[in-house]
Amino acid sequence: MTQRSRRTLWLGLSAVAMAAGTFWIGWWSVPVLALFMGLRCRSGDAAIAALLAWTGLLVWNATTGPILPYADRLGGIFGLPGWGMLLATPLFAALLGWSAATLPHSLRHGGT
Amino acid sequence: MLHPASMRRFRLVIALVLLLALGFVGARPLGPLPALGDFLDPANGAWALLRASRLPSSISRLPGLSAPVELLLDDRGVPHIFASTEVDAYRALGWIVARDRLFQLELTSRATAGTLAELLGARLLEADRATRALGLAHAADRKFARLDSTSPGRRAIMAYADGVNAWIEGMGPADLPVEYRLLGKRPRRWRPEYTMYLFANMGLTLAGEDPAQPRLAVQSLVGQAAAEALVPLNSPVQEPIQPNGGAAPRFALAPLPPPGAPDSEATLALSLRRDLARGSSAERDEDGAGVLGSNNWAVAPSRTRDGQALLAGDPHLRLTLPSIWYEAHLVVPGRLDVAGVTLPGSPGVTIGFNREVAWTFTNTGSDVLDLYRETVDHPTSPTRYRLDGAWRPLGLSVETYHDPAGRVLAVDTIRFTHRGPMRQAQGHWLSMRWTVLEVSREIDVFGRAVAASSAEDWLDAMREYLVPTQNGLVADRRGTIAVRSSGWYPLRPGGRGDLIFDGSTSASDWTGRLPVEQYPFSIRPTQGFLASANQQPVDPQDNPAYLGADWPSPWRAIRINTLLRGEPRMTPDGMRRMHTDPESARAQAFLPFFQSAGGIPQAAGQSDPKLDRALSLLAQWDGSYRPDNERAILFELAMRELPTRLWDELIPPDSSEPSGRPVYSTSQSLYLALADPGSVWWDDRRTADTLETRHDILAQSLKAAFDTALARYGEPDGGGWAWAKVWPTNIWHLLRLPSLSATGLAVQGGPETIAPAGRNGEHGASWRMVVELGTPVRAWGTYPGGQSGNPASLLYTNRIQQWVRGELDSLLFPRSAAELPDRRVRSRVRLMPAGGK
Repeated sequence: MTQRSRRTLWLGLSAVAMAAGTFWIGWWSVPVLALFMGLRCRSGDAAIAALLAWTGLLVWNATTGPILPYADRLGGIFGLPGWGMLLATPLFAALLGWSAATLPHSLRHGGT
Repeated sequence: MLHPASMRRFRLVIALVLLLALGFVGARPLGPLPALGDFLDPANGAWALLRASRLPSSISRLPGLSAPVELLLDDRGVPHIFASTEVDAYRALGWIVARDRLFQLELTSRATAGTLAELLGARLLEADRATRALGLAHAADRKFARLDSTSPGRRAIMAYADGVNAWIEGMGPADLPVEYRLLGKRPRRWRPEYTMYLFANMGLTLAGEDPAQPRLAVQSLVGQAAAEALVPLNSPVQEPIQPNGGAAPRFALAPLPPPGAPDSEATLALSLRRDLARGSSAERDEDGAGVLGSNNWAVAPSRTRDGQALLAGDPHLRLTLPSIWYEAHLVVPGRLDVAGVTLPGSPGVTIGFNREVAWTFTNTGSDVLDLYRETVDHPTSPTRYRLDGAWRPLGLSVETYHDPAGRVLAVDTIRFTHRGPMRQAQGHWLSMRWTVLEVSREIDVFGRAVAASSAEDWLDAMREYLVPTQNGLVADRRGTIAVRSSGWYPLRPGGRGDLIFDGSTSASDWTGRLPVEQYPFSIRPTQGFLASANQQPVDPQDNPAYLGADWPSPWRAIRINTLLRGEPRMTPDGMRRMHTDPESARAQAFLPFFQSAGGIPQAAGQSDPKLDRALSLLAQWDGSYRPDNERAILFELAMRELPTRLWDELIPPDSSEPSGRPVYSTSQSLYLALADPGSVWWDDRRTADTLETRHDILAQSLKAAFDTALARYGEPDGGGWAWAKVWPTNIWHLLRLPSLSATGLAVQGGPETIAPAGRNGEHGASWRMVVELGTPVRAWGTYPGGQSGNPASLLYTNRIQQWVRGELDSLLFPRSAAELPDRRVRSRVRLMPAGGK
């Protein structure tokens, strides 16, 4: 298995773990899992995994209902366009994942 | 260039700050923002409502059921509930209504209880105080407590509450309505009493009218004689619900007495009534005209194409998303088979049909609220009041108001006499007696009425109906049609109820209720049709009993009756088309007066280009209010200008009214003046050196309307004058969130058309229904909204465009679950008793 394949597999498993964590535990499982990921991998990977996890969950929701008009309605509450709302959701997870993973990663690599 | 170690430190600081910030906004609400983590969470947050919008076919437990219940949701989102007992059916109804309308249930009950501030914040405190001062929740609690524990109504309420609570307890994280997520709240348990709160809330909307206020407002400025003429007890245009034998409206137009001197007593009485009835006044638009305009009509088989009775109804209320109505079909073999609309929170169908009978209501708007000036033992903190020479203790209730965090916002003491709640207004203590606060058993009445097997049976069940007074229209499969204005009409000493009574004597108290036999009523009329549109229910020449005052103008009733008289072979589709009929009897009555406004200057050889142009545009109007009509707005603006010029005497000198509007003007009072061209009211006293005539005022109004239209909407043919653009309908979400609302809707209809459109555009036909009483019974209906209160659902707004177009859905009415075609079934849920298999 090449390093690239291993990384892809790792990212996929991490994304699944984050999606499952979000489903069973809650949104805060994303930074918790990212903290652990930061011990092993780059913080960017944690961000990508979180992004994939929440995007996957959004797609799952989209298969069950009219996500675009709903995004418009939700976004309108906050003065955002629908696509802004759709974008903000995985972005929130990605930022959580990146910031949480950066802490152990930086500490491990002599950040202080 | 930073050193790598510094870069890492910098990244660490940035990450730490970002993580803390995201953690904070993720976990805690910030200002108006909800906690973003919970809200954005695509698994269990707001996005999850997309998954919750579907109810998959499944088996669910519903504690308390005596036997399994089949619940089929059709493709319109309507539940068809097949149960073994009525109680099981109502339990299942509570369960499915909670699934679709949970936040609405809580908001409605809180609006009546005066606890909105606990949910929505301190800005609702004054609204809560006004509501609690009316004693609605106390009365609702009392009504519930008085229901016999074995009465069908109470058992239905209890079962419904169990169903609601079973849903709340069993719902998953994805099911939490978006409003709770935005507010950071969880739903509270549903108490059975809340059903009575709902009825009280409906009473507030439909029976909160104080007919004395308009007359006192006029009297305070121009004296009693003018006030009695301008705000008469009886409509000057008579087109009553109970047919009076006429084939056309009866106009009882008397010359208006001249304006008299201001009446300071009336000013005081008015301010007392305004203070006391604060929060109870019915909904009115900016000109003071009522905005709730419901209709119903029925046609006997002799005047229908297929020889079967037809019935139509469209109750007009404030339009909201989700809708005030929820459609349902309940089947209990041998006992109940009824479909129609329910009020979320109430077990049972309010307007609908069964296999034999169909029924619908309009509001009667009778006078059911009286005020009494009380003598008390202390000017500011009384504990006793005087009655028949003896002191009686006041009932006291300490009301505490909380904010969403549980902090106390205010504490009030509400006092009660034997008549009802008492309030202080300008140093006086006044108590209020109001039928809405009296013990009544509408829930039992409706329970019997929905199972009626004939129109007579339905009328018999409705004999006990009391609050709010309603024009109940019924038709059956045998071809009987009937209407009765049912409810509690108080009998008072002296007859009239629009005065303030002396509270120190029990001789001022109500002496009873009008007997059912004296209610306005008609059955199998020779004319072959019946209609009601909130107008005065009976011609005073036929029955002079005092039922109320300041009745809505009968223009809608005139139009409905005109259409019914003109169609000897009515069809269901003809009934449907009437719902959005664009013509207006009001326009037909007033348009000739405006068209004559050009006569005098032209005859005198004067030319007025602006007036000529306005008249020319008005001449192009066909009198209809179709969405693309570009002339109706000119007429409406002229109708709005006319009162400010005609009723200058009714504009208070220290005008607190917005934009110098008269304190009172209705199309009936305008018509009285127009029919009297020599009246001194036509002179505008603000122009001391000119004596205006009717022609002058009409011409001025028309020219001012033209100026306004040009300024607001541009040139007449520029597209800006289109009726739909200038007079749209707006259906607001319960929290008035714009993105969850449907605004700017291009509906057909205008002021006083059958589909009346108030100026604020927030009222309209809350439900439209046509029923053909044949074999089988067929029905069509819709309402503006959708069955689901979940904005992620396709069923949130799916009916709005259909409603705008005036179309109706064919309503499914299967006798059994097997009779419902598979292709029309969205999901099948088998509700099982707890512990059942």
